[in-house]
Amino acid sequence: MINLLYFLSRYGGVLAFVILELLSVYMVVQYNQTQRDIYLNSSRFYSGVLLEKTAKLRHYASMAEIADSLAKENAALYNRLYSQLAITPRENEVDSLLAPFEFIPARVIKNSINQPNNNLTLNKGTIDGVQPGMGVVLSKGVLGIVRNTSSHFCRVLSVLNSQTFVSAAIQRNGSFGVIHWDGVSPSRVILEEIPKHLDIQIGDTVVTSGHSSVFPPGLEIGKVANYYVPSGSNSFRIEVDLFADLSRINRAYIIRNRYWDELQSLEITEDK
Amino acid sequence: MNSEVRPHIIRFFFLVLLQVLILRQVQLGEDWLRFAEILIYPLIIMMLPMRWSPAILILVAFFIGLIIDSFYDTPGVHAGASTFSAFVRPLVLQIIAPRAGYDPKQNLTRATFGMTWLTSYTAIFLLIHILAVQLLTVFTFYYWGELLLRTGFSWILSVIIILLADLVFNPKS
Repeated sequence: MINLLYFLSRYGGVLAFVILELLSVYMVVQYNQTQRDIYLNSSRFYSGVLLEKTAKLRHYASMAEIADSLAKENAALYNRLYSQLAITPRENEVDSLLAPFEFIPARVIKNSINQPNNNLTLNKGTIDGVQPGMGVVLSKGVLGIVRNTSSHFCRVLSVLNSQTFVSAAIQRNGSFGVIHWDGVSPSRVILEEIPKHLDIQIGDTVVTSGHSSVFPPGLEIGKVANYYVPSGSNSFRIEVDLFADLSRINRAYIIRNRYWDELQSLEITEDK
Repeated sequence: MNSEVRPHIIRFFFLVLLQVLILRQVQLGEDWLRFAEILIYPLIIMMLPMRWSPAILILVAFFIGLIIDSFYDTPGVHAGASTFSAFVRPLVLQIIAPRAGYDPKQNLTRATFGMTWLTSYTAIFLLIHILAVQLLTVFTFYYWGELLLRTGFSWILSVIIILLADLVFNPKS
């Protein structure tokens, strides 16, 4: 016993250091290898509530700006609505009622763009019908994919995260590929897997492809800024400038697919 | 006991809030600079009482780091860095020891040891701490090239901010 006490007083510091450092490294590795959110997660209660309070303050400060952008957004939506009403025949209205995608408005209470892997927290959770795997969009652009939900909040894997992949297409000719982030600039993502024989031009608009149940087709993401074929590759590497400035977002829309459960169960039975 | 620990608790709350509510929002620049950040919370670990045993010091530092991590969404990064810098703190203090040595009852402040001492203490301690933070971050995703640039930049800014904060909040002497 005395030996043990002596040992602890002599080497307690080293012991504590080794144990806690290993624990930290374990957390770092664990967090990055699996997509599971572990203990430290700001959708957890205490930091969630605190962050929401400060976010409210910040929102209040930028109220005028938000009102402006909402008004613009409204105007754009009205324009789209009326132009569609003018063009489309009446029977299509039934179709729009049955549209599979529903938008849940949410507030961004925490955002990061300056980490190697970015995440966001939104103020909507399972109570509002949010489930992991749902897409999150902005009025112009894609924000990310819900990774984790608590009852009032959800955590979103930002499009600026090495683990996020979004199916996207060139609007002009429909050729599609996959968007991911290379960690370089928060205003730029990379579109890959478009075969090199297809026609790409700088300035082409990139939209969501609709090849998944997560995002509806045709949402604008960004503009082609630059492209080339990496040596030894069969497909383009296209740099896409995002339309949205992800450092200045307050509001986002979570997309719920009405047929989500049906699609999921269909895919699961197929896998079996 | 109570009046001895109280300043540390007040400092803890103040600096942690400053770090996670304000400094977390500060973005220093584009490209490689985006990963540089101003850290002020290491000041809490720097100033923890000298009388504490190394094990207690390391444990407290670990939990401070854990709290910062929970706001930064970087599980393990700040906790690991704080654990490491608390572990080497006695060594750092030894390197910059004043001629008369330390008395364990003394507070580790500018009022006790002077501006030159505080500057070198802050500089060495933060260099170690920020390097550890950047290493743990790089370990997860990024590359070596920008590591030193980011460390250097975060380091200079953090040292300046900490010294300024000390001058503003402890104006005596």
